[in-house]
Amino acid sequence: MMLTAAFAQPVDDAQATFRTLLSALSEPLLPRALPVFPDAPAGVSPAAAALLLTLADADTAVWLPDGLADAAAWLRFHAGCVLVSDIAVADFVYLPQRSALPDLPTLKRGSADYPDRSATLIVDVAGFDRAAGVTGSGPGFAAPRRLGIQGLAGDFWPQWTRANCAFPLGIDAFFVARDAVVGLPRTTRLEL
Amino acid sequence: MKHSTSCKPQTGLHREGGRAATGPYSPYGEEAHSDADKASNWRYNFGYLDENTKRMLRRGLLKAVAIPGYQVPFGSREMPLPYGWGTGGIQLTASLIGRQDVLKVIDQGADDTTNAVNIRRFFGRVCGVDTTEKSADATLIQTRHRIPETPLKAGQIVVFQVPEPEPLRLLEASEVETRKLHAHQEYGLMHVKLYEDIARFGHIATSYDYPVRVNGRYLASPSPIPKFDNPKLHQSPALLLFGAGREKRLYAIPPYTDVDSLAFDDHPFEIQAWDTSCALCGSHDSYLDEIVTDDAGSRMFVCSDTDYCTSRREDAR
Repeated sequence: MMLTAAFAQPVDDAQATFRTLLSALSEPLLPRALPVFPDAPAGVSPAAAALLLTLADADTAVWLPDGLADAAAWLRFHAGCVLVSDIAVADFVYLPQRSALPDLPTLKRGSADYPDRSATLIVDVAGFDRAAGVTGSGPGFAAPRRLGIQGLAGDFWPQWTRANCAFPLGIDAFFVARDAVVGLPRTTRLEL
Repeated sequence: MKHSTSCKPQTGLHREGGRAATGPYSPYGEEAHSDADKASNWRYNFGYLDENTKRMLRRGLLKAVAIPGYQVPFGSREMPLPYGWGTGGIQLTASLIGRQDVLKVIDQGADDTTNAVNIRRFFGRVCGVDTTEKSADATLIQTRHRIPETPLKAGQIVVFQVPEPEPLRLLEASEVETRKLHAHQEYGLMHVKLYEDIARFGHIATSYDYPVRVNGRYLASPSPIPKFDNPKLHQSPALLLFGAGREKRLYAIPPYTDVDSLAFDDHPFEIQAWDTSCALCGSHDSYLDEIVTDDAGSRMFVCSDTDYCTSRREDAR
């Protein structure tokens, strides 16, 4: 098996990707252009690969759906992260397009003392549409903002709402489509 | 510098933190020895910290933004200057900074004091980034104890150096207990402290590090900024990040977030005011420092924000 390469410039590429993620999470539901697209293994989009390389390392547990053997080997080699089969202990949960949606409220949501010890979703979606979809408000919104996230599983929003019903406990998400990323922290109030 | 990375065409989206097409530094090629116009020392990794430490800080920063005002623990590293000199802020800046960034560092509002000069020179040396004294030109502002008078812009990031991130620490010494107080939103202790000020002095005497409620939930320390700067935290267009190196905590106030300074209905929050204006630029609405000018009791009041004061004087000329 040929192993796929990772970031060409690990230091700069991770930094540029992180800054994009930070601004995406700071202003939720506002699509941001990702700067770098590494070669990705089968089953993982280049954008999601950039996120995983930026955030995952030996200190994190990553959950991948079944059938991503190449991606598992690639992540083990490049990030050195722990790959877990129990989604309830994962720090990062990667959901490729059209994969079955796990039960989101069972993800790690932190504790009342340490709500930061919670999972982050990385979700591949089909695209973003600023003319339709959910409306968000709260921290990061100068005014309520609308965004359609295309290609989400049908029961994603009900499950998201249930997973984030007990602030500060909750999960956070990054949605990636082709060259763009959208952040969604647990604080965003959504009108579906 | 050659890049083999395949970059897909960009759509009309915001692009942030992009990479320089050319640069003085490459750990992989002969460009490492090219002439750099800035003081640089490439025996360090870009930004001084190793990549594992940066990733830990970056994950922490993302969770901090997701839970505004909540203190995220992180593994603070030994830095080449002592605790109390801004090691928390420096570690945050090191995990954020990229080659495109323009860095400004202030200490009590001034660009030219020891702490500010040293930190600016440090990042010039370990990153080779551009630095500036102009608040408006900076993408990244590291600050000790002030927020610039020039209004912050969307897209800017302000990094605060924090000595004590826990606003309840002087009231409750145990970290286990203060975590529980935050978990249960039990902030009565702080109200009692402010009330005791009123009972003793007739007004709330806390003048800096004035506690705030972030997004109506977490009680947070704004770092030892004067309470004059507290209103600038509310609905700020810039992202505000706080790092405490000795206490190993970081936290964030995302842009456009409600930040309320604690107060009572009959003792509302008030900021400092002066009878005089800045002796140099004449500003009536900036934070003034009192400077003693001789041993006979003469004194003058000048803006604490040197960039603001200088640009006002240049504009007036």
